[in-house]
Amino acid sequence: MSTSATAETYNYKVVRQFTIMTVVWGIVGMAVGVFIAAQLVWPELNFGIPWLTYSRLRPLHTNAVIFAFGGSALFATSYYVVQRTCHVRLFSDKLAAFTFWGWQAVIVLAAVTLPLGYTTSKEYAELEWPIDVLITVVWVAYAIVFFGTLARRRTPHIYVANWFYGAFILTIALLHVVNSAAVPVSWFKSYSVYAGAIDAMVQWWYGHNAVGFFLTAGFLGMMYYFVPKQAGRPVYSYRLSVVHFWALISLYMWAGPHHLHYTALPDWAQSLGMVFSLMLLAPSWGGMINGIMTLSGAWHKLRTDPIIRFLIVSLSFYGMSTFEGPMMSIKTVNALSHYTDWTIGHVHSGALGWVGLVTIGSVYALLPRLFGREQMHSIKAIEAHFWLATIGIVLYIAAMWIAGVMQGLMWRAVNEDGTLTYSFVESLKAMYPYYTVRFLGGVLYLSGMLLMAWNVWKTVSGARPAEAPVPQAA
Amino acid sequence: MELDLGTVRGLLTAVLIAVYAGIFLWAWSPKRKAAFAAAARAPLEEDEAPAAGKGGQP
Repeated sequence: MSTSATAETYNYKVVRQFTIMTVVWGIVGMAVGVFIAAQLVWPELNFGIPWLTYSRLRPLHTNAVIFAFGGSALFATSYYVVQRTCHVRLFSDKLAAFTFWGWQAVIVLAAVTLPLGYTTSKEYAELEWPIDVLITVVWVAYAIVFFGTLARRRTPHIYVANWFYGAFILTIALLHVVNSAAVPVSWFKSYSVYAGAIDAMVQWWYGHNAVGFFLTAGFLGMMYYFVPKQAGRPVYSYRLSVVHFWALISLYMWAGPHHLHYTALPDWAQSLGMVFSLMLLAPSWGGMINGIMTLSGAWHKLRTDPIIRFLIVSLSFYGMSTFEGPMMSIKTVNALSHYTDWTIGHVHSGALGWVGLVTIGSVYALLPRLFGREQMHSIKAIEAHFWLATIGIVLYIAAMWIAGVMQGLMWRAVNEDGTLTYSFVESLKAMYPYYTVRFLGGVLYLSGMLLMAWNVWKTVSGARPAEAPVPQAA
Repeated sequence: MELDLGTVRGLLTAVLIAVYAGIFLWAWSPKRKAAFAAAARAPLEEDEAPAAGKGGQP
């Protein structure tokens, strides 16, 4: 009791809370996704109940998987990584606990208000203004905890993962405050302060940077810690990681207009968005190569360690979707792909493939450390999860590619006399087989998450929360 | 020469390109090599023996 009681330890409690909730919200968000995918095949599944209509559940699905599942994973890993690489306990336990309960409150409020139909109608920013205020307060607390910890670090250098997490936290604060600026007219209704094409541009500046900083920079922070950790070797090139960071954050900011090709947005802005999107290929692939090459000389681990396989395959999906994205931002390609299910396929190759797999791999690596276990309860279950997830993704995105290209071609087909060859409902009817395959892919991915929940339960039950001491100054 | 908005934007672009080149040169300078090699080990060197006995047992 004498020394260990006084020695400084890391704050693992908040990391444990967010890690467990990552798995819980992952299952909830993906289950809603599978349910609405089923509604697209069997429309009567809304049972005539307004709360269960596709239009209300779809934002619930996106908010749950991005902000509840992805957000909890980012809170958990950023708190873990910043402590471990700075050799210091989190800046404030109380503020950290506030971010956990505050963020859970935001999620619960979203889960209640969205099915009730309260929405700002801004995609990925649907929550009404009182919830937006709460998000802002929680986020400021998050920034204080994270940057306060960095400021008190005992190591000379700020490890690259923390740069990515830091950029994610700062940028999301900026995006959220600017895009959610609104005039409230009642507790449940507000109007955006922007109008017309400017409103659209602000929305997609927000929307694309939510992809760039929430779903990319944050998870790259995760990648730069957990890939070297699990591979047992330092990142392939540290200087490449420095250039990767600055190139990625300075280019992403300008790519948003590619969401508004052939709209009322000025042509020059559309072209600017396309050019910056094309340039983004370079830092994206630089980062992917840096991650994958970290394994060079230890490729055999891909065969033996399913956690490494999750992490490396996630990087492959990252490379694939960051090639597809710039291609789809080219105006002539976009003329075919926009408003079709190709976009949905692209988003899910990034979301299920990159964000999902890197999170799952990191949680499998992190969880045993938080509960004083050597490894997860069942490695075989991790192996099975990997295949369920991978096959699920492949079914999902292949179905959406075919569906999307088919829609694009059917919508633009014209007869000799200039009339449309197909009515909209004919293109919808052609979607049935692909929507069914997409639903099956989602079921596989979700069942992998349920297997993970069982594995987490077996690993955690009976374990005592671990307390790791902070190394004393060298 | 009149310094209109277009000129300012052009100059800003040139400055940003120079800054980017500067970051690149800084990152690749041989002087940084040792410090970067040490920094890159951050996720590895603090590794605990699986945390088991450390907090759980007396």
